[in-house]
Amino acid sequence: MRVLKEKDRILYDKLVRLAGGDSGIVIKVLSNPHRSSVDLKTAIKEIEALRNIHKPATAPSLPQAATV
Amino acid sequence: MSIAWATVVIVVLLLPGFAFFWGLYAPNQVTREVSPASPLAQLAGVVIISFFVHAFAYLTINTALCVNFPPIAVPCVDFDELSALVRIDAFTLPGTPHPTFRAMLDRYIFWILLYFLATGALTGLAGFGAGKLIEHGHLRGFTRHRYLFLLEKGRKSEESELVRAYVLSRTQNLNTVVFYDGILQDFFAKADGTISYIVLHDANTSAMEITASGPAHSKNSIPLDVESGVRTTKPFLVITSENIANVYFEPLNILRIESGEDAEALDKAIDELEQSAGKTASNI
Repeated sequence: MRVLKEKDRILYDKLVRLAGGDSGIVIKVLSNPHRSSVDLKTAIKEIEALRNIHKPATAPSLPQAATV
Repeated sequence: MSIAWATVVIVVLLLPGFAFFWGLYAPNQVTREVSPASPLAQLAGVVIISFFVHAFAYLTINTALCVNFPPIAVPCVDFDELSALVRIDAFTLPGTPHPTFRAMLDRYIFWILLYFLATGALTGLAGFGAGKLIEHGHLRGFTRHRYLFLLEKGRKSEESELVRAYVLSRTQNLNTVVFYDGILQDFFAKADGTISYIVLHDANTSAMEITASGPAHSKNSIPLDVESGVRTTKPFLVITSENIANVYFEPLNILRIESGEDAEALDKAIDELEQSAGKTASNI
């Protein structure tokens, strides 16, 4: 039984790219228990804010880590 | 010959029942994959439905259509001829002329085809309607595994509804158990509703230690796809029932795309991020 639509998978992958490869940021934004839905613009802002907060402490992104 | 012929006739007569179940399974994957738990019970259902459909059609045609429908000369159903048709031998018995059978088919073939098309289409539509009702939470008596419908809901929605799955595996070393999490991509359940396998997109692995004070989850979760930025075809993780202890499904917030500008803004933000990352790398 297919659960994930292709367009949703593409959208999710884009959000992970926006989060600098950190899927944890995307999950954090999309698993807010205080709301059931979020519009894409708000999600983009929240992902960017979290990415910028995590930036100094973040390890190299995964593709970079793989090439080391 | 007579046994084979009788089988063909019976299969044709059961067509409305088969059409009903085809329609019932058509709207969603859950019933199509899970519901035929008992093929014998389903066959009984096919026989019962076909019986009542033919009985209702017989009643309608012989009491209304062929009598009170003068604009079109709808022929009445001749049950004697039908029962003789089932026993093809009846047409070859001494005293029964062969041309009767052929002449009957030549004369009524259009009406026979129309009859089976109409009964098949109507029962197929009735099955489809029943399938839709089950899908939308009605006819709860027919819903065996409600959670499967909840998982399927996201795929049918226009909006983006992702489900995150946390899988506790059976792979363990002493008190430490391997744990997987990721976006639920595909899911297959057995007829009894238990998980057969699940497929995760963007899967991560971590460890869970079972201590006296309770389970303790490791702080870091390691992505299985270490080259996600390079690949064009995205990898996925398949976990089969032998390696699944239990699964926790978490539906994420629905992601609404209110206009095309939202998608463009996302693409633009990604481009800006990747361009700035490229500049930083070239400066180093």
